[in-house]
Amino acid sequence: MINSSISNVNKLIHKRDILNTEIADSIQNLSLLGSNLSILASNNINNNAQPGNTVETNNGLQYASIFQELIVEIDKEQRQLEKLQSRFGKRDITIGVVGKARQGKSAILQSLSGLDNDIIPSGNGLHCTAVTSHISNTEKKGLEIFVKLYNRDKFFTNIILPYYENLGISPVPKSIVEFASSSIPELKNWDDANSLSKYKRLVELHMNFSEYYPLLTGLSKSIPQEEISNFVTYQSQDKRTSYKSLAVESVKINCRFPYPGLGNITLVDMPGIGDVSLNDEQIRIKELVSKVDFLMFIRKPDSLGDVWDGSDLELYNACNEAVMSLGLPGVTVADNAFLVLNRVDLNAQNNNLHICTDLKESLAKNGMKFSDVAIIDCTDTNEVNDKILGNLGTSFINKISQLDNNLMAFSRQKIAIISKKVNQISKKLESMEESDYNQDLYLFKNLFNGLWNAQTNAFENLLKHKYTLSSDPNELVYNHFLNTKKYIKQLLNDLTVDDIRLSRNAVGSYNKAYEEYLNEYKTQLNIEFLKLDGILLEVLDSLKDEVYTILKTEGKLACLHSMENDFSSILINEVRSIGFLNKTISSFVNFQLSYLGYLHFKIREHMDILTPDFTQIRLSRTDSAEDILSYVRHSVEACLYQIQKEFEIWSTDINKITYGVLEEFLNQIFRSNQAKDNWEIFYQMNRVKVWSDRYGKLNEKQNQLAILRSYMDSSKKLSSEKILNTYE
Amino acid sequence: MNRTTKVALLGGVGVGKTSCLVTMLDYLKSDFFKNLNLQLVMESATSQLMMENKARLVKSLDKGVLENKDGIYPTTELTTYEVAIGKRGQEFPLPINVEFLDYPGEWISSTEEDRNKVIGIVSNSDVVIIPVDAASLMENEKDRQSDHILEILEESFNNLTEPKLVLFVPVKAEKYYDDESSRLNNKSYYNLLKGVQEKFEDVIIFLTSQAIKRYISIAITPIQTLGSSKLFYFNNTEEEGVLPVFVVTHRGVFAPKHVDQPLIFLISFILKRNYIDNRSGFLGVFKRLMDKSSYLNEAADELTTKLSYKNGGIKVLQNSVVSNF
Repeated sequence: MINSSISNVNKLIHKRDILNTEIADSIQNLSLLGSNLSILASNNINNNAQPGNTVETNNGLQYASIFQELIVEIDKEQRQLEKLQSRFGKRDITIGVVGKARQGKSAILQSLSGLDNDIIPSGNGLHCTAVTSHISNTEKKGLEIFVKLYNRDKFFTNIILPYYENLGISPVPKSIVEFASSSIPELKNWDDANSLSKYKRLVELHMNFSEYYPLLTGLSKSIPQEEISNFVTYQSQDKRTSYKSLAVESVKINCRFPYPGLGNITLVDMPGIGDVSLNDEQIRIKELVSKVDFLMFIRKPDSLGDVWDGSDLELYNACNEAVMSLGLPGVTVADNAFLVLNRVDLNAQNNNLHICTDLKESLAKNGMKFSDVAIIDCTDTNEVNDKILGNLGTSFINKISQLDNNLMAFSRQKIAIISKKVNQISKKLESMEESDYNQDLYLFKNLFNGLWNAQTNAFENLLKHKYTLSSDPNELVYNHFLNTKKYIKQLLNDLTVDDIRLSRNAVGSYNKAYEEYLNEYKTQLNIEFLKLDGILLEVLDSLKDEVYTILKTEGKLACLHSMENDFSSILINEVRSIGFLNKTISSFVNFQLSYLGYLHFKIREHMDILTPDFTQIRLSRTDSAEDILSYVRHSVEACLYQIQKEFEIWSTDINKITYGVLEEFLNQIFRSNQAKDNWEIFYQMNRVKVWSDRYGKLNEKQNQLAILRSYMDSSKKLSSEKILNTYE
Repeated sequence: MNRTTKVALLGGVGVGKTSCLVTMLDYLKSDFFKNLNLQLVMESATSQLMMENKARLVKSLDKGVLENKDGIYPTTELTTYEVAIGKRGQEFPLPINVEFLDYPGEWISSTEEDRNKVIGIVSNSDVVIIPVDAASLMENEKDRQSDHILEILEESFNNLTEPKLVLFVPVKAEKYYDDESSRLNNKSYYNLLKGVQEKFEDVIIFLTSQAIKRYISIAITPIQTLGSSKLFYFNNTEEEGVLPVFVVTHRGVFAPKHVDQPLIFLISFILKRNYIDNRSGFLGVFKRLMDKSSYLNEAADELTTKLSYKNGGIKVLQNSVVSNF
């Protein structure tokens, strides 16, 4: 008996661990499946949004709606699994103890936990327990008590405000401070006992505000045993009313239950269920039900005669409603609730045994059903432990386990249905894919040959054009010289005799002034010519752009365009896998000319004209400022004259170079033996992007197929026999 | 009395006809006859004009650079420079009269009337000196200075009966004396000679054509008119077109070079012509007997030995019946 109870709880928790692993996998798989299908559905819709697809459209739409239905179904199942996950994720078996006041709830809790009246007060007052208590069995000896206090906002929102709402009184305070500082509005309807009791309670809260207000800190704290009564009951042992308990949100008590080797069991005692003076009964019941595995109803029949009355039924129904609202399919309160009829046998007059029996037998008539009913003297510790933790324990653990199995089986069944539907769709899509493939070879060959001819033709024309230009100077380069010349000449024109005189006065002699000016112009010229690097870049860029334009238009590679990268780097990236193309294209893309490398050494020689040590003009003492001005002008002009001759040659060379570069590039990339084959491979690889109008559908199908494969794998995993059968 | 030998200059505007002539006359007057058994007198007006023009040339070397506007003024009318040559110690008037004819360069390219004047001058001349603007010839690919010269010569040398000497005299050629490519070929003026023959190819073809070749001696013989200047660059001006600018390498120093070479061709040709003329005709028999003119032949032969084929950059393209260069 004892052992079976122990193993039952632990086995249950262990089993839930395993179930939770399965659930986590399933949630993940379903989520993947769901997103796959979403992508698929949206692709399908996009695909059919394209014109000229009328035949396929119906099919596509049909699929889209199937996808949508599946997605909704998957989503729903995911939510369900998440609920199971939280149910199975708990580290203990929780039993919620439900009963109206004075039914022996505290007595049974005391009996089960071995705690005494100090900790779990029973009986005498109107409101025995005031706060939710979690009493857990631990292996450790001794008693630990933790009190969780409300913070001000939560207290105001959860405790104070509902009174105003329920009683319909106003003005409603906006904060707890306002509640404390203003008086309670008058109650309109004094006749309703419910309202009256709630109103009294509210007034009580208001009057004793100062007692509990300082405790509204939101903290959790451990308290010594002696203080517990202050926190859980209105009345302390000396009968003085304590309002400290008002500030308490919940109490957690860890102790060692007398029944040995119980395992992780927690009893939850929710105060005042069935107490009309509290507002939010339904909400509290729901909260309780959501946290517990099992409910234990306590009812003490009056030995003078008793029947199931309205309030019993109300409580039962409220609990049932709460259980159903958990959304666990097919689960009602009847499946996870015990009824304990509290037997009293003080003497012959005060004996309710036969009434207990009557009530038990009249349950069905009153529309109530429990998974088990026990008649127990709740004050008899031995009986309580034996019957509840022994006989009943085994039964309710089995019940819980059965319930878990049912829930899992239900989920698995749902998942199996989803998998089946997915498999059906994927088979259909696969068959669609197969039929198109053979046609593709002819289509591609035609498309590629057409493109190849257009592209090579366009390149031949470009090459011819470049050839005609190759005997002319490059305009960009030559114009740069002309602009430089114009600019320098302007500087020369602006130079005056006065400038020369000023300069001579500054540096000491005409000789030096002359040299200074030569240096200055030399520097200016150098600065201007250094800008040629930019011009050269521009020249090559424009050549490259012409090539790229052909690749983009006739070569239909515009589809490779992206916002982030320029065409050349995309191109290199795309041909990376084709070594031959990659090498040639890279070297073309990276080809550069530099002023310093190609022209500077030629120009530099002529700069000697402006270098004092090399200057050809012989100065004389007789030279005037006018003469010096003329020498400066002539020297600079002579320098420009010589450089211009270089530019005439060189700017023509530049056109020859661009022609040469283009010719070499085209030779390698279009005329060499392997060129066409390599391009064909490239276009075959990229055919869907390049001829998206022709291959678009195919592309979608390929995507679909890839996605289908991935979720077919997950489907198989989801529906694998192994997981299904683990606990059947 | 002997007939006057006429020497015509043939060239366009700004080529350097007058500078060339002035430099040559200056040398003729001062140094050329020093070690020869000959003497020269210059007609006084000629001497005056020559001296004035020389002074302008010298003055153009004052500054560090020399522009086209510097130097001799453009010739505005037909100008004749007269000299007479005879045996050293011989009594005046000297027997050989030589007239140098200069005229405005634009005549060769302007109106029919002006061109006819030039044709008249050239056809009546025994010697034609064609100054060649070497700077333009060498630097400017589109140089057109030979353009009108062929036409003038074709019309002037129609039905030749007398021998003629044609001298191409490149001027403004200082730069090419030091030309690196010339040095590579171990001949100074190598590229210059090549350039003249290329640019004047049509003219040379005409002068060496079968019909007239026996009458025409041709030589290329560059001179440095100033000696102290060197082409700097061509200035492309909006008003006057492309004009050369020179740097003055030795300021104020007028140092023409190689001027003796064209003069040797010229004088020896004139001497030979006169020697042959003297020995022909009715009086020739007596002259031959008296051997009065043999000094002309001797001097001519002596002169030709002074031609510096190796270093002067001269090239003889053709000898006529009278010359033996």
